[in-house]
Amino acid sequence: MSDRTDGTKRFRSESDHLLIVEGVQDCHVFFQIAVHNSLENSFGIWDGGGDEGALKKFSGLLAASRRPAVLGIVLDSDPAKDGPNSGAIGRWGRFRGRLAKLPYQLPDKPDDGGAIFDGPDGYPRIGVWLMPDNRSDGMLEDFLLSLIPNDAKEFADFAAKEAKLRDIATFQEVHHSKAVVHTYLAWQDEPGKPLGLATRAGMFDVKGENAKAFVDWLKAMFSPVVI
Amino acid sequence: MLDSLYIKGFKLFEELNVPELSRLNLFVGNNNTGKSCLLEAVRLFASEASPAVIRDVIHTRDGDWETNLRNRSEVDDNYPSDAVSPMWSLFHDFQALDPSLMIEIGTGDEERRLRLSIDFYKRDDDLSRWVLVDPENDSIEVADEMLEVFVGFERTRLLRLENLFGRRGLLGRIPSPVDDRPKTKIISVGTDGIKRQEVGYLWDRINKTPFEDKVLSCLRLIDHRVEGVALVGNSERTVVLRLAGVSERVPLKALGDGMTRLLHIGLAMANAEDGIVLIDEFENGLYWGVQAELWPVVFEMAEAFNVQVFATSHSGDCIKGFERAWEKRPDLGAMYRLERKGSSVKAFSLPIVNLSDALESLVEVR
Repeated sequence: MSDRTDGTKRFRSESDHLLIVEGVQDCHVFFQIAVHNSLENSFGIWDGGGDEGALKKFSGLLAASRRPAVLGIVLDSDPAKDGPNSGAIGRWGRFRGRLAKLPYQLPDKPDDGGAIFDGPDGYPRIGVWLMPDNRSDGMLEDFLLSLIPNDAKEFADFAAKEAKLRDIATFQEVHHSKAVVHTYLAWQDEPGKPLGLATRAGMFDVKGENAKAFVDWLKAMFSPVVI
Repeated sequence: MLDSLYIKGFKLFEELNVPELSRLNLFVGNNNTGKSCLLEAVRLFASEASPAVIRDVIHTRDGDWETNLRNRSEVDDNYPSDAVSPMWSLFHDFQALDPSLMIEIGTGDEERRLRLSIDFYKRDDDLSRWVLVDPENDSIEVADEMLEVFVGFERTRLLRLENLFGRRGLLGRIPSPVDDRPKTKIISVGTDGIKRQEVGYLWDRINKTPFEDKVLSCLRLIDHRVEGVALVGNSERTVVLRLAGVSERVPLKALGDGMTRLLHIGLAMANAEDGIVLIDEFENGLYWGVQAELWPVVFEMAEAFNVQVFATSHSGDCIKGFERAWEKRPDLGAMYRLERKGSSVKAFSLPIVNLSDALESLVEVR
Protein backbone atom coordinates (compact mmCIF):
# COMPACT_ATOMS: atom_id res chain seq x y z
CA MET A 1 0.00 0.00 0.00
CA SER A 2 1.21 3.44 -0.86
CA ASP A 3 1.86 5.55 2.19
CA ARG A 4 1.70 8.84 0.38
CA THR A 5 -0.96 10.86 2.08
CA ASP A 6 0.23 14.23 0.86
CA GLY A 7 -1.84 14.03 -2.29
CA THR A 8 1.14 14.25 -4.62
CA LYS A 9 0.90 10.68 -5.79
CA ARG A 10 -2.14 8.81 -6.95
CA PHE A 11 -2.99 5.52 -5.37
CA ARG A 12 -2.13 2.99 -8.06
CA SER A 13 -1.16 -0.14 -6.19
CA GLU A 14 -0.13 -3.25 -8.15
CA SER A 15 -0.81 -5.46 -5.15
CA ASP A 16 -2.60 -8.72 -5.77
CA HIS A 17 -4.79 -7.89 -2.78
CA LEU A 18 -6.43 -4.80 -4.16
CA LEU A 19 -9.14 -2.42 -2.97
CA ILE A 20 -10.61 -0.18 -5.66
CA VAL A 21 -12.27 3.01 -4.54
CA GLU A 22 -13.98 5.95 -6.21
CA GLY A 23 -11.62 8.81 -5.54
CA VAL A 24 -8.46 10.14 -4.00
CA GLN A 25 -10.25 11.20 -0.80
CA ASP A 26 -11.54 7.65 -0.33
CA CYS A 27 -7.99 6.33 -0.81
CA HIS A 28 -6.69 8.45 2.05
CA VAL A 29 -9.57 7.62 4.37
CA PHE A 30 -9.43 3.84 3.79
CA PHE A 31 -5.68 3.84 4.11
CA GLN A 32 -5.96 5.53 7.50
CA ILE A 33 -8.73 3.16 8.59
CA ALA A 34 -6.39 0.31 7.65
CA VAL A 35 -3.54 1.85 9.64
CA HIS A 36 -5.69 2.30 12.76
CA ASN A 37 -6.71 -1.35 12.53
CA SER A 38 -3.24 -2.71 11.66
CA LEU A 39 -4.36 -3.72 8.18
CA GLU A 40 -2.11 -1.42 6.18
CA ASN A 41 0.01 -4.29 4.91
CA SER A 42 -2.95 -6.46 3.95
CA PHE A 43 -3.97 -4.74 0.75
CA GLY A 44 -3.19 -2.05 -1.78
CA ILE A 45 -5.48 0.72 -2.95
CA TRP A 46 -6.39 1.85 -6.45
CA ASP A 47 -7.99 5.20 -7.17
CA GLY A 48 -10.70 4.58 -9.76
CA GLY A 49 -11.14 8.27 -10.48
CA GLY A 50 -14.93 8.23 -10.14
CA ASP A 51 -17.64 5.62 -9.69
CA GLU A 52 -17.67 4.56 -13.32
CA GLY A 53 -13.88 4.36 -13.46
CA ALA A 54 -13.76 2.26 -10.29
CA LEU A 55 -16.39 -0.14 -11.59
CA LYS A 56 -14.64 -0.46 -14.96
CA LYS A 57 -11.29 -1.12 -13.35
CA PHE A 58 -12.86 -3.77 -11.14
CA SER A 59 -14.69 -5.38 -14.03
CA GLY A 60 -11.66 -5.16 -16.33
CA LEU A 61 -9.35 -6.79 -13.80
CA LEU A 62 -11.63 -9.82 -13.81
CA ALA A 63 -10.67 -10.27 -17.47
CA ALA A 64 -6.98 -9.48 -17.01
CA SER A 65 -4.16 -11.81 -17.92
CA ARG A 66 -2.74 -11.13 -14.45
CA ARG A 67 -5.61 -11.10 -12.03
CA PRO A 68 -5.36 -10.15 -8.36
CA ALA A 69 -5.96 -12.88 -5.80
CA VAL A 70 -8.41 -10.67 -3.94
CA LEU A 71 -10.30 -7.79 -5.46
CA GLY A 72 -12.53 -5.49 -3.43
CA ILE A 73 -14.43 -2.39 -4.34
CA VAL A 74 -16.07 0.34 -2.27
CA LEU A 75 -18.80 2.28 -4.03
CA ASP A 76 -21.01 5.12 -2.85
CA SER A 77 -24.73 4.48 -2.90
CA ASP A 78 -24.94 7.94 -4.22
CA PRO A 79 -28.50 9.28 -4.43
CA ALA A 80 -27.23 12.22 -6.47
CA LYS A 81 -28.17 10.77 -9.81
CA ASP A 82 -31.83 10.00 -9.77
CA GLY A 83 -33.08 6.99 -11.63
CA PRO A 84 -32.71 3.28 -11.39
CA ASN A 85 -28.94 3.39 -10.96
CA SER A 86 -28.86 5.47 -7.82
CA GLY A 87 -28.98 4.32 -4.23
CA ALA A 88 -27.79 1.04 -2.75
CA ILE A 89 -30.13 -1.22 -4.72
CA GLY A 90 -29.39 0.48 -8.02
CA ARG A 91 -25.66 0.38 -7.37
CA TRP A 92 -25.86 -3.29 -6.49
CA GLY A 93 -27.65 -3.91 -9.77
CA ARG A 94 -24.91 -2.16 -11.74
CA PHE A 95 -22.26 -4.11 -9.88
CA ARG A 96 -24.03 -7.39 -10.61
CA GLY A 97 -24.39 -6.50 -14.28
CA ARG A 98 -20.60 -6.38 -14.60
CA LEU A 99 -20.40 -9.95 -13.32
CA ALA A 100 -23.35 -11.40 -15.21
CA LYS A 101 -21.21 -13.55 -17.50
CA LEU A 102 -18.68 -14.59 -14.88
CA PRO A 103 -19.00 -17.64 -12.67
CA TYR A 104 -19.87 -15.88 -9.41
CA GLN A 105 -23.15 -16.59 -7.63
CA LEU A 106 -24.49 -13.19 -6.61
CA PRO A 107 -27.74 -12.68 -4.71
CA ASP A 108 -30.39 -10.13 -5.72
CA LYS A 109 -29.65 -7.82 -2.82
CA PRO A 110 -26.44 -6.65 -1.17
CA ASP A 111 -25.37 -8.23 2.09
CA ASP A 112 -25.64 -5.95 5.14
CA GLY A 113 -22.17 -6.96 6.28
CA GLY A 114 -20.62 -6.33 2.87
CA ALA A 115 -20.52 -8.99 0.18
CA ILE A 116 -17.62 -11.41 -0.30
CA PHE A 117 -17.52 -14.18 -2.89
CA ASP A 118 -14.81 -16.73 -3.43
CA GLY A 119 -14.17 -17.23 -7.11
CA PRO A 120 -13.98 -20.59 -8.80
CA ASP A 121 -10.60 -21.82 -9.98
CA GLY A 122 -8.62 -19.01 -11.58
CA TYR A 123 -10.94 -16.23 -10.47
CA PRO A 124 -10.15 -13.87 -7.59
CA ARG A 125 -12.05 -13.61 -4.35
CA ILE A 126 -14.19 -10.51 -4.77
CA GLY A 127 -16.03 -8.22 -2.43
CA VAL A 128 -18.12 -5.09 -2.54
CA TRP A 129 -19.08 -2.57 0.11
CA LEU A 130 -21.75 -0.02 -0.70
CA MET A 131 -21.27 3.14 1.33
CA PRO A 132 -22.45 3.86 3.90
CA ASP A 133 -23.87 0.55 5.18
CA ASN A 134 -24.94 -1.57 2.17
CA ARG A 135 -28.58 -0.57 2.77
CA SER A 136 -29.01 3.18 2.89
CA ASP A 137 -28.44 5.63 0.12
CA GLY A 138 -25.40 7.70 0.87
CA MET A 139 -21.67 8.04 0.50
CA LEU A 140 -18.36 8.06 2.30
CA GLU A 141 -19.35 11.12 4.35
CA ASP A 142 -22.47 9.38 5.67
CA PHE A 143 -20.28 6.56 6.85
CA LEU A 144 -17.85 8.96 8.54
CA LEU A 145 -20.74 10.75 10.24
CA SER A 146 -21.66 7.49 11.93
CA LEU A 147 -18.17 7.54 13.48
CA ILE A 148 -18.47 10.83 15.38
CA PRO A 149 -20.18 11.45 18.72
CA ASN A 150 -23.95 11.83 18.44
CA ASP A 151 -24.18 15.26 20.01
CA ALA A 152 -21.47 16.58 17.71
CA LYS A 153 -23.28 15.10 14.73
CA GLU A 154 -26.62 16.58 15.80
CA PHE A 155 -25.14 20.00 16.29
CA ALA A 156 -23.23 19.99 12.99
CA ASP A 157 -26.40 18.79 11.25
CA PHE A 158 -28.36 21.59 12.88
CA ALA A 159 -25.74 24.14 11.83
CA ALA A 160 -25.83 23.02 8.20
CA LYS A 161 -29.63 23.10 8.13
CA GLU A 162 -29.76 26.47 9.83
CA ALA A 163 -27.27 27.90 7.31
CA LYS A 164 -29.60 26.73 4.53
CA LEU A 165 -32.59 28.31 6.26
CA ARG A 166 -30.77 31.61 6.60
CA ASP A 167 -29.89 31.42 2.94
CA ILE A 168 -26.18 31.70 3.61
CA ALA A 169 -25.37 28.18 2.35
CA THR A 170 -25.02 27.26 -1.32
CA PHE A 171 -24.38 23.49 -1.13
CA GLN A 172 -26.77 21.16 -2.95
CA GLU A 173 -29.08 19.09 -0.81
CA VAL A 174 -27.48 15.83 -2.07
CA HIS A 175 -24.26 17.03 -0.47
CA HIS A 176 -25.82 17.57 2.93
CA SER A 177 -23.69 14.93 4.65
CA LYS A 178 -20.53 16.44 3.15
CA ALA A 179 -21.51 19.81 4.59
CA VAL A 180 -22.19 18.26 7.99
CA VAL A 181 -18.84 16.39 8.11
CA HIS A 182 -16.88 19.46 7.19
CA THR A 183 -18.84 21.56 9.67
CA TYR A 184 -17.78 19.10 12.35
CA LEU A 185 -14.17 19.15 11.15
CA ALA A 186 -14.21 22.95 11.33
CA TRP A 187 -14.16 22.80 15.13
CA GLN A 188 -11.51 20.12 15.58
CA ASP A 189 -7.86 20.73 16.29
CA GLU A 190 -6.66 21.69 13.77
CA PRO A 191 -9.78 23.01 12.09
CA GLY A 192 -10.52 22.11 8.50
CA LYS A 193 -8.40 19.02 7.98
CA PRO A 194 -9.24 17.03 4.85
CA LEU A 195 -10.96 13.68 5.46
CA GLY A 196 -7.84 11.50 5.24
CA LEU A 197 -5.79 13.59 7.63
CA ALA A 198 -8.77 13.93 9.96
CA THR A 199 -9.07 10.14 10.00
CA ARG A 200 -5.37 9.85 10.73
CA ALA A 201 -5.75 12.39 13.57
CA GLY A 202 -8.47 10.27 15.15
CA MET A 203 -11.36 12.61 14.49
CA PHE A 204 -13.46 9.62 13.43
CA ASP A 205 -13.78 6.57 15.63
CA VAL A 206 -12.57 4.02 13.11
CA LYS A 207 -11.84 1.40 15.77
CA GLY A 208 -15.21 1.53 17.50
CA GLU A 209 -18.50 -0.29 17.24
CA ASN A 210 -19.87 1.68 14.30
CA ALA A 211 -16.83 1.02 12.11
CA LYS A 212 -16.72 -2.65 13.07
CA ALA A 213 -18.83 -4.03 10.22
CA PHE A 214 -16.68 -2.29 7.61
CA VAL A 215 -13.41 -3.23 9.29
CA ASP A 216 -14.59 -6.83 9.65
CA TRP A 217 -15.40 -6.85 5.95
CA LEU A 218 -11.87 -5.63 5.13
CA LYS A 219 -10.37 -8.28 7.41
CA ALA A 220 -12.49 -11.07 5.95
CA MET A 221 -11.73 -9.97 2.42
CA PHE A 222 -8.01 -9.64 2.71
CA SER A 223 -7.25 -12.55 4.96
CA PRO A 224 -4.78 -14.86 3.22
CA VAL A 225 -6.20 -16.71 0.25
CA VAL A 226 -5.17 -20.28 -0.36
CA ILE A 227 -4.42 -20.61 -4.05
CA MET B 1 -21.45 -24.60 -36.15
CA LEU B 2 -19.63 -25.82 -33.08
CA ASP B 3 -21.43 -24.59 -29.97
CA SER B 4 -18.63 -25.63 -27.62
CA LEU B 5 -15.24 -27.24 -27.73
CA TYR B 6 -13.84 -30.15 -25.79
CA ILE B 7 -10.29 -31.42 -26.30
CA LYS B 8 -8.66 -34.20 -24.36
CA GLY B 9 -5.27 -35.85 -24.66
CA PHE B 10 -4.23 -33.77 -27.66
CA LYS B 11 -0.82 -32.10 -27.69
CA LEU B 12 -0.75 -29.41 -24.97
CA PHE B 13 -4.25 -30.21 -23.80
CA GLU B 14 -4.71 -32.65 -21.01
CA GLU B 15 -8.36 -31.65 -20.95
CA LEU B 16 -9.69 -28.37 -22.31
CA ASN B 17 -13.25 -27.14 -22.03
CA VAL B 18 -14.50 -24.16 -23.99
CA PRO B 19 -18.09 -24.13 -22.81
CA GLU B 20 -19.52 -21.63 -25.27
CA LEU B 21 -18.51 -20.79 -28.79
CA SER B 22 -20.00 -18.19 -31.05
CA ARG B 23 -19.79 -17.36 -34.74
CA LEU B 24 -16.49 -15.52 -34.31
CA ASN B 25 -14.13 -16.81 -31.67
CA LEU B 26 -10.88 -15.17 -30.70
CA PHE B 27 -8.26 -16.98 -28.64
CA VAL B 28 -5.39 -15.15 -26.98
CA GLY B 29 -2.72 -16.27 -24.54
CA ASN B 30 0.94 -16.58 -23.79
CA ASN B 31 3.33 -18.57 -25.98
CA ASN B 32 3.00 -22.31 -25.70
CA THR B 33 -0.50 -22.23 -24.24
CA GLY B 34 -1.90 -24.04 -27.26
CA LYS B 35 -3.58 -21.42 -29.45
CA SER B 36 -2.37 -23.03 -32.66
CA CYS B 37 -2.98 -26.51 -31.24
CA LEU B 38 -6.58 -25.52 -30.70
CA LEU B 39 -6.92 -24.59 -34.37
CA GLU B 40 -5.32 -27.90 -35.35
CA ALA B 41 -7.77 -29.73 -33.15
CA VAL B 42 -10.68 -28.00 -34.88
CA ARG B 43 -9.19 -29.00 -38.26
CA LEU B 44 -8.93 -32.62 -37.22
CA PHE B 45 -12.46 -32.61 -35.86
CA ALA B 46 -14.06 -30.91 -38.84
CA SER B 47 -12.25 -33.19 -41.29
CA GLU B 48 -13.09 -36.26 -39.21
CA ALA B 49 -9.38 -36.91 -39.10
CA SER B 50 -8.83 -37.07 -42.83
CA PRO B 51 -5.38 -38.49 -43.59
CA ALA B 52 -4.41 -35.35 -45.50
CA VAL B 53 -5.19 -33.18 -42.50
CA ILE B 54 -3.44 -35.54 -40.09
CA ARG B 55 -0.33 -35.46 -42.24
CA ASP B 56 -0.43 -31.70 -42.65
CA VAL B 57 -0.96 -31.05 -38.93
CA ILE B 58 1.98 -33.30 -38.10
CA HIS B 59 4.24 -32.01 -40.85
CA THR B 60 3.66 -28.32 -40.03
CA ARG B 61 5.14 -28.93 -36.58
CA ASP B 62 7.96 -31.21 -37.79
CA GLY B 63 6.34 -34.15 -36.02
CA ASP B 64 7.63 -36.34 -38.86
CA TRP B 65 11.22 -35.18 -38.68
CA GLU B 66 12.59 -38.52 -37.62
CA THR B 67 10.77 -40.49 -40.27
CA ASN B 68 11.90 -38.06 -42.93
CA LEU B 69 15.47 -38.02 -41.70
CA ARG B 70 15.73 -41.80 -41.79
CA ASN B 71 13.89 -42.21 -45.02
CA ARG B 72 16.19 -39.83 -46.79
CA SER B 73 19.25 -41.68 -45.60
CA GLU B 74 20.61 -44.53 -47.75
CA VAL B 75 22.55 -45.79 -44.74
CA ASP B 76 19.33 -46.40 -42.83
CA ASP B 77 18.46 -49.23 -45.21
CA ASN B 78 21.11 -51.28 -43.43
CA TYR B 79 19.45 -50.91 -40.04
CA PRO B 80 16.20 -52.16 -38.63
CA SER B 81 13.62 -49.39 -38.41
CA ASP B 82 13.16 -48.00 -34.96
CA ALA B 83 11.71 -44.61 -35.89
CA VAL B 84 8.80 -43.62 -33.73
CA SER B 85 5.61 -43.07 -35.67
CA PRO B 86 4.91 -39.39 -36.30
CA MET B 87 1.45 -40.03 -34.80
CA TRP B 88 3.24 -39.78 -31.51
CA SER B 89 3.47 -36.02 -31.80
CA LEU B 90 -0.31 -35.59 -31.62
CA PHE B 91 -0.72 -37.14 -28.21
CA HIS B 92 -0.62 -35.14 -25.02
CA ASP B 93 2.63 -34.46 -23.24
CA PHE B 94 4.88 -36.44 -25.57
CA GLN B 95 3.78 -39.77 -24.14
CA ALA B 96 4.90 -42.94 -25.87
CA LEU B 97 2.21 -44.37 -28.13
CA ASP B 98 0.06 -46.74 -26.20
CA PRO B 99 -3.35 -48.27 -26.92
CA SER B 100 -4.65 -46.85 -23.66
CA LEU B 101 -4.19 -43.27 -24.89
CA MET B 102 -7.03 -41.51 -26.60
CA ILE B 103 -7.42 -38.13 -28.22
CA GLU B 104 -10.90 -36.66 -27.98
CA ILE B 105 -11.93 -33.58 -29.92
CA GLY B 106 -15.44 -32.27 -30.23
CA THR B 107 -18.16 -30.47 -28.35
CA GLY B 108 -19.60 -30.74 -24.86
CA ASP B 109 -21.88 -33.41 -26.27
CA GLU B 110 -20.07 -36.77 -26.07
CA GLU B 111 -21.79 -37.94 -29.22
CA ARG B 112 -20.26 -35.07 -31.16
CA ARG B 113 -16.67 -36.02 -30.62
CA LEU B 114 -13.88 -37.38 -32.71
CA ARG B 115 -11.83 -40.03 -30.95
CA LEU B 116 -8.39 -41.19 -32.03
CA SER B 117 -6.41 -44.05 -30.62
CA ILE B 118 -3.73 -46.45 -31.69
CA ASP B 119 -4.04 -50.20 -31.57
CA PHE B 120 -2.70 -53.35 -33.17
CA TYR B 121 -4.83 -55.14 -35.74
CA LYS B 122 -4.36 -58.24 -37.85
CA ARG B 123 -5.99 -59.26 -41.08
CA ASP B 124 -8.52 -62.02 -40.72
CA ASP B 125 -8.77 -63.48 -44.19
CA ASP B 126 -11.74 -65.68 -43.37
CA LEU B 127 -13.79 -62.71 -42.28
CA SER B 128 -11.95 -60.50 -44.78
CA ARG B 129 -11.61 -57.71 -42.29
CA TRP B 130 -9.22 -56.38 -39.71
CA VAL B 131 -9.56 -57.61 -36.15
CA LEU B 132 -7.92 -56.45 -32.95
CA VAL B 133 -4.85 -58.39 -31.93
CA ASP B 134 -5.27 -60.41 -28.78
CA PRO B 135 -2.04 -59.75 -26.87
CA GLU B 136 -2.42 -63.06 -24.98
CA ASN B 137 -2.50 -65.31 -28.02
CA ASP B 138 -1.31 -63.39 -31.04
CA SER B 139 2.23 -62.58 -31.97
CA ILE B 140 2.86 -58.87 -32.41
CA GLU B 141 4.82 -59.79 -35.55
CA VAL B 142 1.62 -60.37 -37.49
CA ALA B 143 0.11 -57.14 -36.34
CA ASP B 144 -0.23 -53.78 -38.00
CA GLU B 145 -0.25 -50.59 -35.97
CA MET B 146 -3.43 -48.77 -36.81
CA LEU B 147 -4.97 -45.41 -36.08
CA GLU B 148 -8.56 -45.96 -35.03
CA VAL B 149 -10.90 -43.09 -35.83
CA PHE B 150 -14.24 -42.88 -34.08
CA VAL B 151 -16.96 -40.35 -34.74
CA GLY B 152 -19.11 -40.33 -31.66
CA PHE B 153 -18.67 -43.90 -30.50
CA GLU B 154 -18.73 -45.45 -33.95
CA ARG B 155 -15.49 -46.47 -35.60
CA THR B 156 -15.36 -44.86 -39.00
CA ARG B 157 -11.78 -45.34 -40.10
CA LEU B 158 -8.85 -47.62 -39.58
CA LEU B 159 -5.64 -46.21 -40.96
CA ARG B 160 -2.47 -48.26 -41.06
CA LEU B 161 0.24 -45.99 -39.72
CA GLU B 162 2.71 -47.37 -42.21
CA ASN B 163 0.44 -46.27 -45.05
CA LEU B 164 -0.36 -42.97 -43.44
CA PHE B 165 3.26 -41.96 -43.26
CA GLY B 166 4.68 -44.27 -45.88
CA ARG B 167 8.08 -45.82 -46.27
CA ARG B 168 9.26 -42.43 -47.36
CA GLY B 169 7.40 -40.49 -44.74
CA LEU B 170 5.26 -37.54 -45.60
CA LEU B 171 7.43 -36.69 -48.53
CA GLY B 172 6.30 -39.76 -50.38
CA ARG B 173 3.12 -40.25 -52.28
CA ILE B 174 0.74 -42.19 -50.15
CA PRO B 175 -1.97 -44.15 -51.83
CA SER B 176 -5.01 -43.87 -49.64
CA PRO B 177 -8.04 -46.11 -49.91
CA VAL B 178 -10.29 -43.51 -48.37
CA ASP B 179 -11.52 -40.14 -49.54
CA ASP B 180 -9.03 -37.70 -48.06
CA ARG B 181 -11.23 -34.69 -48.38
CA PRO B 182 -12.62 -33.11 -45.22
CA LYS B 183 -16.34 -33.48 -44.62
CA THR B 184 -16.80 -29.86 -43.56
CA LYS B 185 -15.43 -26.95 -45.56
CA ILE B 186 -12.52 -25.79 -43.49
CA ILE B 187 -9.96 -23.26 -44.61
CA SER B 188 -6.83 -22.51 -42.69
CA VAL B 189 -5.01 -19.20 -42.85
CA GLY B 190 -1.71 -19.94 -41.14
CA THR B 191 0.70 -17.51 -39.56
CA ASP B 192 2.27 -17.07 -42.99
CA GLY B 193 -0.99 -17.25 -44.89
CA ILE B 194 -2.34 -19.72 -47.43
CA LYS B 195 -0.10 -21.80 -49.67
CA ARG B 196 0.42 -20.41 -53.13
CA GLN B 197 -1.23 -23.30 -54.98
CA GLU B 198 -4.22 -23.12 -52.70
CA VAL B 199 -4.61 -19.39 -53.28
CA GLY B 200 -5.05 -20.10 -57.01
CA TYR B 201 -7.59 -22.79 -56.31
CA LEU B 202 -9.59 -20.62 -53.90
CA TRP B 203 -9.52 -17.70 -56.31
CA ASP B 204 -10.76 -19.81 -59.20
CA ARG B 205 -13.67 -21.02 -57.08
CA ILE B 206 -15.02 -17.52 -56.52
CA ASN B 207 -13.77 -15.72 -59.61
CA LYS B 208 -16.62 -13.80 -61.26
CA THR B 209 -19.06 -14.76 -58.52
CA PRO B 210 -20.61 -12.31 -56.04
CA PHE B 211 -18.06 -13.59 -53.51
CA GLU B 212 -15.30 -11.96 -55.56
CA ASP B 213 -16.66 -8.50 -54.70
CA LYS B 214 -16.27 -9.25 -51.01
CA VAL B 215 -12.63 -10.19 -51.48
CA LEU B 216 -12.03 -6.98 -53.41
CA SER B 217 -13.65 -4.98 -50.62
CA CYS B 218 -11.14 -6.54 -48.20
CA LEU B 219 -8.24 -5.42 -50.37
CA ARG B 220 -9.67 -1.91 -50.55
CA LEU B 221 -9.21 -1.58 -46.78
CA ILE B 222 -5.57 -0.92 -47.55
CA ASP B 223 -5.73 0.43 -51.10
CA HIS B 224 -9.03 1.90 -52.21
CA ARG B 225 -7.84 1.93 -55.83
CA VAL B 226 -8.20 -1.84 -56.23
CA GLU B 227 -10.55 -2.52 -59.13
CA GLY B 228 -9.76 -6.07 -60.08
CA VAL B 229 -7.65 -9.14 -59.37
CA ALA B 230 -6.17 -11.68 -61.77
CA LEU B 231 -4.02 -14.73 -61.22
CA VAL B 232 -1.55 -15.20 -64.04
CA GLY B 233 0.92 -17.91 -64.94
CA ASN B 234 0.72 -21.66 -64.83
CA SER B 235 1.85 -23.59 -61.78
CA GLU B 236 3.25 -20.72 -59.72
CA ARG B 237 0.53 -18.18 -60.35
CA THR B 238 1.11 -14.56 -59.50
CA VAL B 239 -1.61 -12.30 -58.14
CA VAL B 240 -1.81 -9.03 -60.05
CA LEU B 241 -4.12 -6.11 -59.46
CA ARG B 242 -5.74 -3.46 -61.55
CA LEU B 243 -5.59 -0.14 -59.70
CA ALA B 244 -7.63 2.92 -60.56
CA GLY B 245 -5.40 5.51 -62.17
CA VAL B 246 -2.51 3.10 -62.76
CA SER B 247 -2.02 1.93 -66.33
CA GLU B 248 0.20 -1.06 -65.56
CA ARG B 249 -1.01 -4.12 -63.69
CA VAL B 250 0.59 -4.24 -60.26
CA PRO B 251 1.68 -7.44 -58.50
CA LEU B 252 -0.07 -7.86 -55.16
CA LYS B 253 3.21 -8.42 -53.41
CA ALA B 254 4.43 -4.99 -54.49
CA LEU B 255 1.81 -3.49 -52.22
CA GLY B 256 3.16 -5.00 -49.01
CA ASP B 257 2.50 -7.98 -46.77
CA GLY B 258 -0.73 -6.54 -45.46
CA MET B 259 -2.38 -6.83 -48.89
CA THR B 260 -1.46 -10.50 -49.12
CA ARG B 261 -2.88 -11.10 -45.64
CA LEU B 262 -6.12 -9.35 -46.61
CA LEU B 263 -6.38 -11.44 -49.78
CA HIS B 264 -5.87 -14.65 -47.83
CA ILE B 265 -8.38 -13.82 -45.12
CA GLY B 266 -10.88 -12.57 -47.69
CA LEU B 267 -10.43 -15.66 -49.87
CA ALA B 268 -10.81 -17.98 -46.90
CA MET B 269 -14.04 -16.30 -45.79
CA ALA B 270 -15.49 -16.15 -49.29
CA ASN B 271 -14.77 -19.83 -49.90
CA ALA B 272 -15.94 -21.31 -46.63
CA GLU B 273 -19.70 -20.98 -46.97
CA ASP B 274 -21.38 -23.09 -44.26
CA GLY B 275 -17.94 -24.10 -43.00
CA ILE B 276 -15.09 -23.03 -40.80
CA VAL B 277 -12.21 -20.58 -41.19
CA LEU B 278 -9.14 -20.77 -38.97
CA ILE B 279 -6.87 -17.73 -38.77
CA ASP B 280 -3.63 -18.13 -36.84
CA GLU B 281 -2.19 -14.82 -35.64
CA PHE B 282 -4.82 -12.66 -37.28
CA GLU B 283 -2.70 -9.52 -37.07
CA ASN B 284 0.27 -10.76 -39.11
CA GLY B 285 1.37 -8.14 -41.60
CA LEU B 286 -1.52 -5.81 -40.78
CA TYR B 287 -1.28 -2.22 -39.60
CA TRP B 288 -3.31 -1.68 -36.43
CA GLY B 289 -5.81 0.60 -38.13
CA VAL B 290 -6.41 -2.01 -40.82
CA GLN B 291 -7.09 -4.66 -38.16
CA ALA B 292 -9.75 -2.41 -36.69
CA GLU B 293 -11.37 -2.08 -40.11
CA LEU B 294 -10.97 -5.71 -41.09
CA TRP B 295 -12.79 -7.22 -38.13
CA PRO B 296 -16.18 -5.69 -38.98
CA VAL B 297 -15.78 -7.01 -42.54
CA VAL B 298 -14.94 -10.48 -41.23
CA PHE B 299 -17.97 -10.31 -38.92
CA GLU B 300 -20.16 -9.34 -41.84
CA MET B 301 -18.81 -12.08 -44.12
CA ALA B 302 -19.09 -14.70 -41.38
CA GLU B 303 -22.74 -13.91 -40.94
CA ALA B 304 -23.52 -13.57 -44.63
CA PHE B 305 -21.79 -16.83 -45.61
CA ASN B 306 -22.63 -18.79 -42.46
CA VAL B 307 -18.98 -19.28 -41.58
CA GLN B 308 -17.65 -19.97 -38.11
CA VAL B 309 -14.30 -18.30 -37.43
CA PHE B 310 -11.59 -19.37 -34.98
CA ALA B 311 -8.77 -16.85 -34.75
CA THR B 312 -5.75 -16.45 -32.51
CA SER B 313 -3.85 -13.31 -31.66
CA HIS B 314 -1.00 -11.84 -29.64
CA SER B 315 -1.86 -8.31 -30.55
CA GLY B 316 -3.57 -5.69 -28.43
CA ASP B 317 -4.66 -3.92 -31.61
CA CYS B 318 -6.27 -7.06 -32.92
CA ILE B 319 -8.12 -7.51 -29.64
CA LYS B 320 -9.29 -3.90 -29.72
CA GLY B 321 -10.52 -4.27 -33.29
CA PHE B 322 -12.31 -7.48 -32.39
CA GLU B 323 -13.87 -5.87 -29.32
CA ARG B 324 -15.23 -2.95 -31.32
CA ALA B 325 -16.81 -5.22 -33.90
CA TRP B 326 -18.10 -7.57 -31.21
CA GLU B 327 -19.60 -4.77 -29.14
CA LYS B 328 -21.78 -3.84 -32.10
CA ARG B 329 -22.83 -7.47 -32.52
CA PRO B 330 -22.77 -8.98 -29.02
CA ASP B 331 -24.51 -12.13 -30.25
CA LEU B 332 -21.75 -12.98 -32.72
CA GLY B 333 -18.55 -13.11 -30.69
CA ALA B 334 -16.69 -15.01 -28.00
CA MET B 335 -13.22 -14.60 -26.64
CA TYR B 336 -11.02 -16.80 -24.51
CA ARG B 337 -7.54 -16.62 -23.11
CA LEU B 338 -5.68 -19.92 -22.89
CA GLU B 339 -3.89 -19.99 -19.57
CA ARG B 340 -1.38 -22.46 -18.37
CA LYS B 341 -1.40 -23.59 -14.77
CA GLY B 342 1.25 -26.18 -14.07
CA SER B 343 0.97 -28.78 -16.80
CA SER B 344 -2.63 -28.06 -17.69
CA VAL B 345 -4.11 -25.40 -19.93
CA LYS B 346 -7.48 -23.81 -19.29
CA ALA B 347 -9.71 -21.58 -21.38
CA PHE B 348 -10.56 -18.42 -19.48
CA SER B 349 -13.62 -16.60 -20.76
CA LEU B 350 -13.52 -12.86 -21.49
CA PRO B 351 -17.11 -11.61 -21.64
CA ILE B 352 -17.59 -8.51 -23.78
CA VAL B 353 -18.52 -6.24 -20.87
CA ASN B 354 -15.39 -7.13 -18.92
CA LEU B 355 -13.23 -7.00 -22.03
CA SER B 356 -14.49 -3.51 -22.87
CA ASP B 357 -13.94 -2.36 -19.29
CA ALA B 358 -10.42 -3.81 -19.32
CA LEU B 359 -9.49 -2.07 -22.57
CA GLU B 360 -10.94 1.20 -21.36
CA SER B 361 -9.11 1.07 -18.03
CA LEU B 362 -5.85 -0.07 -19.65
CA VAL B 363 -5.87 -3.49 -18.02
CA GLU B 364 -3.70 -5.98 -19.92
CA VAL B 365 -5.77 -8.77 -21.44
CA ARG B 366 -3.29 -10.36 -23.85
